[in-house]
Amino acid sequence: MKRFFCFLLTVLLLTAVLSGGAAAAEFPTFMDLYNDWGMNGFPDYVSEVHSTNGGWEMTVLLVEGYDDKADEILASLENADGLTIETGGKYSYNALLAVQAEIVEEYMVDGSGDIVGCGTGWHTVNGEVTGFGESGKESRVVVDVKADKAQEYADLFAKKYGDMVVVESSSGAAVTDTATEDSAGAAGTSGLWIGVAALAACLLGSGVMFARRRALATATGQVITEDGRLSRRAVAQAVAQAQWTPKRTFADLKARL
Amino acid sequence: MTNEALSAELRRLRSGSLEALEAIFLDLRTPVFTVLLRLVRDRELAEDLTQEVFLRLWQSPPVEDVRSPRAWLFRVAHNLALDALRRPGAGELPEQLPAQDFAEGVHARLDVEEALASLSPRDREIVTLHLGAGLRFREIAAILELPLGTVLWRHSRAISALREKLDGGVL
Repeated sequence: MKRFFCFLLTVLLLTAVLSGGAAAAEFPTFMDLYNDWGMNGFPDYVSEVHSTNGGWEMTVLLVEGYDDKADEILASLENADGLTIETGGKYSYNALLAVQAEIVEEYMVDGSGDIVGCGTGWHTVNGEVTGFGESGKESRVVVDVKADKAQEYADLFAKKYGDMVVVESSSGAAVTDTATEDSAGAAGTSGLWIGVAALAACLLGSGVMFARRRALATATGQVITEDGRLSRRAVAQAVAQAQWTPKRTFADLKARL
Repeated sequence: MTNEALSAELRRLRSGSLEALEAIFLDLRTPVFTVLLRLVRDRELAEDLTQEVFLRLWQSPPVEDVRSPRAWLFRVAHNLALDALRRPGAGELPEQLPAQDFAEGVHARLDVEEALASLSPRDREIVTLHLGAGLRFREIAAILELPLGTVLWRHSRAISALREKLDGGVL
């Protein structure tokens, strides 16, 4: 009997410890977390997010060396079904955005017009949408340059940014990333969720969009995500604060009870 | 008021406490009215419906084990708005929200309302339920009878559209 009670007590204590130690998940699903990233900025350890199956199953690519963040992400979710986490991304999404911003600031605003578009994401090769890097699923900063200047800028950006930037020659309008994953949603296509306004515009044939972002740190590893435009977070805060109070009071309600 | 606090007030309300009803009314009348106003786009109607929401709460409060009483309340508001819009003569009222409601920060609020008015009614409701009423996406999906993924995507797209509108648009 004594042994049984000791066993029962041990089980109860262990249960209390384990349940007390388990942190409550912050987000019901990955899409909630993804939306939070979209609103508040992506963490520096995220390289890329894309659809695994063309639908709602998602893959998060972490920057190389941040394998430990996988557990953190999973622990923050109540339900991680359909989520795949991979590692080995070369650059963080934020770093690519910083480079994009710098290119826009230095070469596009009041520039020569040689660069017709700049965006962060994947690109189209022979009609097929594809990413970069060894996996073929990473993003890069894709710069569309007038055909006769393409090589000149390719050499310039290779020297300045290494393989963070990919130059493509363009015969027409090209785009810069602004709406990131939302344009991918609007396009309704598979696979592209971060920084795909450039690709969406190519697919949809839409016009030129410029991100009016201030010059940020160079691609030496420093990333500052300062943005001259209204942030999504600021928009959300503005909506949350724009409330209307009814004129009728509790007394009016009470009179009807 | 959190769901836990609301549950506590509802327990008091179920036993006939007017103070509990008043506490719930004072805390939630603004977000409820905001959701209704953006749905029906008519101040008087939104006032009527807001009162009706809390009248129904008093007459038929949610049962004890409702997981999210807050979502329950906004579901009532949503259904009342839909019923009102289905009535003969009801329809989209495109005019601006009344000028006499202005207080501090009026211009910012007007800008937001103008931007919100450019959204579809469904997207406007999703954004308002999430940001104004504080509901989670899963709760909104249940109220609107939409898949969770759809709600998430539409919310994200709506925020982008609002951002463009409030930021002055693209070049």
